[in-house]
Amino acid sequence: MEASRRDFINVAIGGLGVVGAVGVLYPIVKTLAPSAASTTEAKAEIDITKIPELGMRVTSWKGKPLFVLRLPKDLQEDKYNVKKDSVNSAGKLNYELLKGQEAFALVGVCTHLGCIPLWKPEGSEDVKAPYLHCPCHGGLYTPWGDNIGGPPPRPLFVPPQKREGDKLIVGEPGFVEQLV
Amino acid sequence: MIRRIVDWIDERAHVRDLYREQMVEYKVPKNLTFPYVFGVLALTTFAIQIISGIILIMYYKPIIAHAFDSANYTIMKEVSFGWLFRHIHAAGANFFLAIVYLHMFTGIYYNAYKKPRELVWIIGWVIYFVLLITALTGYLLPWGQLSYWGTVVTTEIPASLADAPFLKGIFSAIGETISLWMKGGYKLEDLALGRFFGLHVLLLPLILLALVGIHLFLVRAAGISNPEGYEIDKKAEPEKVVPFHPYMTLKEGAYTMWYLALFFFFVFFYMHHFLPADNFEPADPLKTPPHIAPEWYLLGFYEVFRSIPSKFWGFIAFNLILLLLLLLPFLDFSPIKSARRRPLFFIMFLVFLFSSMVLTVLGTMAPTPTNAQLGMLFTALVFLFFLSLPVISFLEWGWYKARGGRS
Repeated sequence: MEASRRDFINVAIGGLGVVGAVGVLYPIVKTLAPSAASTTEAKAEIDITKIPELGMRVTSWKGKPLFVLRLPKDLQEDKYNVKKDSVNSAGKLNYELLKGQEAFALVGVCTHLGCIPLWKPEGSEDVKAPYLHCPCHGGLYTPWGDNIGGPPPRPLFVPPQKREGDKLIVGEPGFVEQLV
Repeated sequence: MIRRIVDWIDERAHVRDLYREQMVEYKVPKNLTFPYVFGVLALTTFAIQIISGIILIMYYKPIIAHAFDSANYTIMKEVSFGWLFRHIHAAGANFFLAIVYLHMFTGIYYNAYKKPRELVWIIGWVIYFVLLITALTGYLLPWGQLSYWGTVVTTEIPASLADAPFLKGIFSAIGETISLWMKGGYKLEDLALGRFFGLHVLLLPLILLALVGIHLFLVRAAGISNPEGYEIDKKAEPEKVVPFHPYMTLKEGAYTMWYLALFFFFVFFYMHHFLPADNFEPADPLKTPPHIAPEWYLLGFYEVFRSIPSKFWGFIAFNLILLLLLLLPFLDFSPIKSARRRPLFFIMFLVFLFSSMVLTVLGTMAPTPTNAQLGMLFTALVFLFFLSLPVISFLEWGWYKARGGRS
């Protein structure tokens, strides 16, 4: 069956129609895309020299609260009674990803029901070291976000982050890659 | 696979019958001229306005504190391609009115308002009227200087009834009441913006959609008119008609493509006329912009209104022109159709066309006494056109009878 002139013109018009439809639909769909303003929230830069030792700076990343912590070098996770079986999506404890970093960022959303934990730098009766305490149902986390006690099923989420001089850049993979 | 889906639907909805009856077996005259395309172009523009309007409504905020910024910042800068859809909507409004005017002049020229098409004309007139109100309400929404002051002036127009030479008390009360009810108060504020918004984005488009549907139904029911002015008997004269599809659809589709090319040329390269710089200044109720004139599609009525010395009679005059347009099928009762076969009508049609254009041009000029006199002259010529129609019809009836009832 040989292609006729009529076939050619049908294909040509059909092709033009497809080009036109794409040209119309592209801007229409694009208006629904995330705005340029919101894409700036995908990255947060924090100057860590402005955070005192054992201090916490709360900022936001992708619309969620972001805890930026600066810990003394001698603070180790063996001070805490960590639930070793509660791991992040990389199959590790947060401490393994974050140890040795003087400053790092966590997403400050409790993994139990989404409340925002409180920073207790001076510790308490039960936990004799700095820790995070979720006021809703008493979830306890180490400063690296690993579970000590209470209902939370997983460690706090660690966003991808890297160091550039005095700046901690959250949202770009570095010493922490993208977790789920 | 597609065939099976269509078969399944066809068994239940008889779409193939519908297609055959309405697209192929529906016949149109062979000799339709270029101006018959304006109906389809108006429909295309309406579709463009609805799509672009739906996109704009997602980001526009009908509150004075936010209206200007939502139009000029959120839509123009934040939303991807928001600027494009605002440009399309603003240009589309102007093109819509332009096409509708051409469509109306076409209808008048070919006498497409005569029996059996009076209802087509009347519904068409209502569409035009609703379209003007839609344009007027949409114009306020960006809340720029021109939006605000244009609307202030428009809502003051009914107050010109107070200038009546008789029954002054009654007329001024009526005028003031209309003006107040348009604004929802003495000033243009959130109430007015809210109601204009509601009308512009929901009620009026719905009414327009319904009216356009009825208009198209009536065109099909009465049959499309003919440039020659003879009614075609589609059964007895098959050589004079062609199937609607593919003949009409392809030809009008091609013209639509040319039209869209022209339209988007304006959208991309010539927006400064449709979005004037003055309107990029937020509305200030304490400062009137120096150059304030209505949009071009209202300039004819505006000139009629302002050239007549008495505000009251000016108001009556431009409303009377609108009314006479509506009554056209009854003013022109001659049995002969189409300006091609009516030399007297053709001359008066040219007078009408020319006068409308001159009035529009005069509307852009400064209101000098000379211009006011010219305005009154051409207003008189417009009325002469309407008044000449019964006379011409009377004469043509005589000739028609003398020829033994052959048109």
